[in-house]
Amino acid sequence: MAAYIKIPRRPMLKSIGIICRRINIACKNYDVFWKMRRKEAVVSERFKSSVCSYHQKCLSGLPTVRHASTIPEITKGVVLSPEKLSQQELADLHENIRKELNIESSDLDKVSQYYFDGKGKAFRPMVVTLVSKACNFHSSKLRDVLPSQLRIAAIAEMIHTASLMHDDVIDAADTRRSQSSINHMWGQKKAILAGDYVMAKASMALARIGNPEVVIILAQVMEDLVKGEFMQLGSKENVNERFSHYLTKTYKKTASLLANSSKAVAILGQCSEEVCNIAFEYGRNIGMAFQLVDDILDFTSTDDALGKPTVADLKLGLATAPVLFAALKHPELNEMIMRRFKGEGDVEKAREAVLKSNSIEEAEYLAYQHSREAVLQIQRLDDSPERRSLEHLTQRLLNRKK
Amino acid sequence: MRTCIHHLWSFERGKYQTSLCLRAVSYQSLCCRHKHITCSTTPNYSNYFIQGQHGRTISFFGSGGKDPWKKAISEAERIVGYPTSFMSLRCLLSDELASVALHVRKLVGTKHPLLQTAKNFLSDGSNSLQTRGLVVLLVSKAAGSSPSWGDGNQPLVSGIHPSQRALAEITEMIYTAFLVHRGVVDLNKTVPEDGPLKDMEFGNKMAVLSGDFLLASASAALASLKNTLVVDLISQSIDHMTRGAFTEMGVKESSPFSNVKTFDQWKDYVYLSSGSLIGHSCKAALLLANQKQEFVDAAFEFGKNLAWAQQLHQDLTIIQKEGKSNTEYLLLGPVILHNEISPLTVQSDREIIKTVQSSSAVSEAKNMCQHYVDCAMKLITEFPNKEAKEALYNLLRALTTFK
Repeated sequence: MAAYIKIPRRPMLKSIGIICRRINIACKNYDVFWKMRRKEAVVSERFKSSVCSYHQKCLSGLPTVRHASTIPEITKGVVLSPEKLSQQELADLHENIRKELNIESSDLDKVSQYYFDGKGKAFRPMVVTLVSKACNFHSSKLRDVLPSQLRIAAIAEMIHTASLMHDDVIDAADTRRSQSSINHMWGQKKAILAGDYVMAKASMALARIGNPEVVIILAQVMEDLVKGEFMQLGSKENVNERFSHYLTKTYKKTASLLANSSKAVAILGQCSEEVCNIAFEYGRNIGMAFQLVDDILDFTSTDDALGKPTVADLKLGLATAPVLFAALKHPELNEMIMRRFKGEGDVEKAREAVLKSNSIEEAEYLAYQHSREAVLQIQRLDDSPERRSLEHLTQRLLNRKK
Repeated sequence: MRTCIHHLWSFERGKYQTSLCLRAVSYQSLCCRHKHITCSTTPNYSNYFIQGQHGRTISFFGSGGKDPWKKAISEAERIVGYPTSFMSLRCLLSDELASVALHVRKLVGTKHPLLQTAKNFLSDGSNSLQTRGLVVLLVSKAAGSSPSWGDGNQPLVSGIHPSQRALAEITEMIYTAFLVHRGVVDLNKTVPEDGPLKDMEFGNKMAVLSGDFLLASASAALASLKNTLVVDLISQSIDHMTRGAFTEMGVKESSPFSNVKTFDQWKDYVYLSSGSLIGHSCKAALLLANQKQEFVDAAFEFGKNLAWAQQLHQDLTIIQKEGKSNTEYLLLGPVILHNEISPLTVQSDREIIKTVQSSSAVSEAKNMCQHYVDCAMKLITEFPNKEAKEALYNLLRALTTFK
């Protein structure tokens, strides 16, 4: 007697499975579906057409947006640009970092200061400074930035740059910000050791703030950065896992730094736990949106506009959001993802598949969701020029072309 | 356990996969940690473990050969409670390092330095890899239990506070990370004998990632000690090590002959690349125990002197054995000393060795070594714990004996 009877899987069940899985990915992970039902979320026309007929019915009658890049909830009124609002505080940022890294003689001086030439966007210090101001205003009605908070802004930039130095060696990148990368100019060994040096200097600056809790928070960032890099080495067989793998990796590699340094400045401003969490969530969401847009631009932009070669992710064998969405429609991509686009013509085929499907739009929609969440979070703080500016920053992120 | 050891041996012969070995090592360190607890019930086992009965010394366990240094180490390990490896098990057993181990086997057959570092890590030999943590623990214990422990609820094990043990592990992790990172190769300087360029590039990738992983884990562990002064000190030593690697001596490019260094430069270099870490770690360990300032300062100086003595001892050994072929002889302490007395006139490595061997520089270097050892001993005479102090003395004495 056979104790186990195998029930054949019906093809129809399988196709429903695919659809449901897709709903899972698009909705469950991001709470979109239920928020849409509760009329808390706006839906793009494309998104509606991409779900199955049953769910389409559920969603009918909800407001829609044509371009996912407009966020309706942003506070109206006068808005100053984030650069202007942080200009005064960040004017000497690179100068100060260079001073911090200064040592007599040897190449280390030149190598470690190479990226702190003042040409970088300094996006992270800007966010950190504005979050400090917005949180300080909410808690104490003072818009000043504490010296310790400014140090966190510099430390965030240093940690980011140190990780770039190492990433460029790992990814064998020859250019960075339209100039030669450190490993290209001075060789791999010096690039790595200089990265360690910058990281050590950042730790020293961090320790000298004298707050053990803040040290723990930023040490977590360093750990996340490495773990994110390790996650990039492998890819998951299972489609659902692959998506969450990608999102976790994105959090660890990009969002963790913004989230945790925002939280750190809120703690240094002696804000309540609620405010600290708002700062963290704002940083996390804007970080996720930032990276998603980055991954999209890798497909849609040109080499010149971006300052680095495009389709770089595919060439490195990395499957980002646009590819993962495209793979839902073009199952032949799955095989390429597993072999990390190493086959002949894989990169071109994958790029074509991405561009001809609506996966770019779906990835944009995901970025939009994170931006919107960032806006909702920061709006829980009292209204201030900095808060408005942070709201608008999310919008600008979505629309950026480079 | 026999299989573990077998794997280790095979690794040295390059037959087995590295991953197996790393796993084996983690397993072994697990065993080692338990050994302390279980040795009363299984005395034979532990004996087998320490002695390495197969005619060949298993130096990974710091076993008792004839070498006085190794003997001193194995005695010291007994005193601090936990023998052998201080590398955090958490780290070795992590998915991240396991995946590195899986990948590293691709490098077998190439000359990527990562492979050598991994080997040295497994079979300690004379490289004094895992002794830094041991010194930190001995100094912690030697300074005695401080009356003003911050928290009364964490008990001391063998007279050492858990936070000091954590610090010893962190020290090991940072040093290993640094060794791994220093082994990153400049790809445009590779030669065909090193192996295919693609493999070397891959080796770099693994070296960067595993070094970063160790550093990040160390930072997180350091942060959880909740003492910002300690974080500052240890970060400073990382700063120093990278600086050391960037000095002319650290770059280790075959320097032009006219450019022989001075002994002060040698001292600076040894301080930056190794003394700083030992010194700062010893200092930080005593800070964690709220020891008095004199002890804290003495611990730092002790670490510095120990590093100088250790390096001079190692350099002398190379000179006397006519050492390894890949050594840059002009960077050895005795050679530099000789050059200060009477400038070198010969060019080839062989001749340099011959000249230095027959000159007074060797005895001069031995005197210097003795001097550092004496300094280090003097610094800790006030430390109350006799047992740990004696173990440190033994380690130092081992540095003044030459074969």
